[in-house]
Amino acid sequence: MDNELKLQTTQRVLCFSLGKLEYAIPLISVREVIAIPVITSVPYTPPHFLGIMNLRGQILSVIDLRMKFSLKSSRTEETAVVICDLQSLCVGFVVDSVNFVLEVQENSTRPNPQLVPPATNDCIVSLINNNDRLIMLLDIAKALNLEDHSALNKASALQRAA
Amino acid sequence: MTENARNMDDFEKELRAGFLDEAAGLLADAEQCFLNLETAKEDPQILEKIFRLAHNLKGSARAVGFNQMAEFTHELESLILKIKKREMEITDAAINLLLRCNDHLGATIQALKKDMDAQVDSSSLLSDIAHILSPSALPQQQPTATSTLTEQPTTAPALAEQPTTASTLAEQPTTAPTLAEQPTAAVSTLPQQPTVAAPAQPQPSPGPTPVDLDRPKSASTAPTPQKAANQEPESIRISTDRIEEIVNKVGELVLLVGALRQQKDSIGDVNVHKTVDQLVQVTKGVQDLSLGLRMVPLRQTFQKMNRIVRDVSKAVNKDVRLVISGEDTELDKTVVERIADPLVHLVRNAVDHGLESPEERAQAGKPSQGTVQLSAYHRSGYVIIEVAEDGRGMDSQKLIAKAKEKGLLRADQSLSHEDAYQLIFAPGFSTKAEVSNISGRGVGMDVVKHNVAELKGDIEIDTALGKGTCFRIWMPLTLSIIDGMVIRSEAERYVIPMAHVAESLQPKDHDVHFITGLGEVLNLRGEQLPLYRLGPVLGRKNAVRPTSQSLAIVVRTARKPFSVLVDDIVGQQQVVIKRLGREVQNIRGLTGGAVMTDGQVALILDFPELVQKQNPISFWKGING
Repeated sequence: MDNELKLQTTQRVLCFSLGKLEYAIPLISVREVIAIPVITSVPYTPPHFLGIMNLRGQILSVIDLRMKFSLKSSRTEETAVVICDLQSLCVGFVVDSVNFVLEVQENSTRPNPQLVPPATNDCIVSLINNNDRLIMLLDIAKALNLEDHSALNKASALQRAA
Repeated sequence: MTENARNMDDFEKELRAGFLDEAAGLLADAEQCFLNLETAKEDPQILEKIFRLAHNLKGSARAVGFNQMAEFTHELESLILKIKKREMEITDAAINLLLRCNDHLGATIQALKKDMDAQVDSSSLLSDIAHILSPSALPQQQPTATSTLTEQPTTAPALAEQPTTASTLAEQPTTAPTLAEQPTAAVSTLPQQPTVAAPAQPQPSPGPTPVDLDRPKSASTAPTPQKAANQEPESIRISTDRIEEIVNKVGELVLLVGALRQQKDSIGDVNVHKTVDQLVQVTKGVQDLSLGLRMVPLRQTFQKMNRIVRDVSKAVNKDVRLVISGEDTELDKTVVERIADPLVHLVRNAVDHGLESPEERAQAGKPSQGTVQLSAYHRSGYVIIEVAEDGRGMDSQKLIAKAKEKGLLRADQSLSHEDAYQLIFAPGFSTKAEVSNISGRGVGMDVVKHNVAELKGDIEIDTALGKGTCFRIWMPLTLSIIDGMVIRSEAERYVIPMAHVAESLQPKDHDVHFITGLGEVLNLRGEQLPLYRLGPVLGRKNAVRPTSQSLAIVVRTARKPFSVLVDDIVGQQQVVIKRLGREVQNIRGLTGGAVMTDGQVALILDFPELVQKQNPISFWKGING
């Protein structure tokens, strides 16, 4: 009983850094975190689409959110790829470091005050206050901009039709 | 004893089940022949093949105790024999009758599959056959034919004596005497016959002539049994359950080997490491193979469409040509089975709705013969099946008006072209004004869409008014293995299907010229082939590499041959086509990804597509001009 109640009001999130900024996504959408693998680039894709990788026989796309958000990208020992499962889609994205898993109470989040950089604005669901540090809770599907991809699909479909 | 009896029973059942599977294959072959017969009436080889097929079917049916079927096939055989001996002309009516017989046999097999003791009424067809075989000739000829073909063990002399068969043999003077002189040769040809389902039974009806007639020379010497093996790879039947079991067990094996690979580091022995690495490779190979067991080519499904096109086009008085390509493309067996009905529907629709009547076509300045193109190919780890015709194309305005009339749309609603085309998938929507009995009951396209969606596929429509419509089905691949050539451009490796490679060569600097308006051209033994460099084709800004340090790959699968310059050819290997993520699967020219032996991913490229993308205008000009 107690457990059920708790689940409704708390959410576990994975916190990570992109550049100097801290972000989080719901842990439930994370499949695993891996060290940066060998990535094969794919022609005719935008720069933030790093390419494709082999995860135990499955081929996954890897996206660099830092590039997407116009943040400085670097590669250190901490650099990792977060593999997330989103409905029918499984995509990895590069982060500067994976920090910790946080249990968030619903009432400790604040709505997005529209102060974050405009490029990322749409993707921020809310802000988490963690010991006076603000962590931005990302809508990861939006951040990876799936609409963008379907637009890409549409464009190539049209191209095919022409 | 009872145990033994039961075993006998099981054995017989197995034989029968095997026969039914085999017979279905024979019928599909036969149907193809009947249809071919329509266009090549004089071709004796087709008739020989049909005769052989009917004959095999009869013999095997009798061997496993399906007497009704054997009797029916026997009548069919008499009919075919008559045609073969040119006592009867190959009219449309005759072919129709043959096709009906084929259908009847198909239905019989289906019924027998459900119930081994099923009784099927063949009387109406039998009387049609009796009618077409002139009534006077029938009673005398039939019994003699039976005795020759079924009972006589000493075939060759019997054949020579039989007036009916001798007349056939007389057409092939080289064979007939040989056969008569060397009965042993005729007997030894028996193993060459594709014996079916009843290996324990001697072929009850030798009728070896067809085999020999195809190859008169081999009849005079002792026929080589390997030839039969070359013709068709040997196969055994395995139940899908067992395949499933294998796949599951191999899956477990892969996991264990993965664990072993992790654990090997705790052992210092280099030899152990080596062995584990090899084990990993072999296991991977086994996994790929086991997954591939379920794959079957689309060939049979595609060939069935010949019949559909023929029947529908006759019914609606249209002259239609069916062009098939990519029938070797493989899909999971269940997918192939379940895609068949939607395809039939699309092909029917293409002939009935899509194509115009010959008069309309003439008015529009098109050739009176319409074309339906059925093709299959790989893209981005999907198999794409296209049903395209060069008919009237879809009129979005008409579709919208129709939908409003049917109350599927509000009167004030407006739709984009694309959305309007999607209307045809709406339940209760049929585009033709009058309902025909071929298609157009309005219960079709929504079912097609539904079936395809159930298989996790998608269907899209390309249409141009006055030019035609193409339905494109995207089916996800469970697995597909291709023979690939691994090539390199700068640091990147790519795989191309060997099927695309006509040849590869090292061009000299003076073989490549630049022609204004055409770009670079490779002079290949006097032939001028457009030359593309792989880097730019992939949209990359590579440093220009001297031609003489590159290799050219010649591709002739496109309608216009071309060549592509790559840095190096790394090797050849079989690769498993893996699907790319949804976000990139639609990029043209990418067939999918392949996990290479070092665990890295290489893209599988489709050169014809890439080149077409590179230079769409001149490419299309090339095709049309």
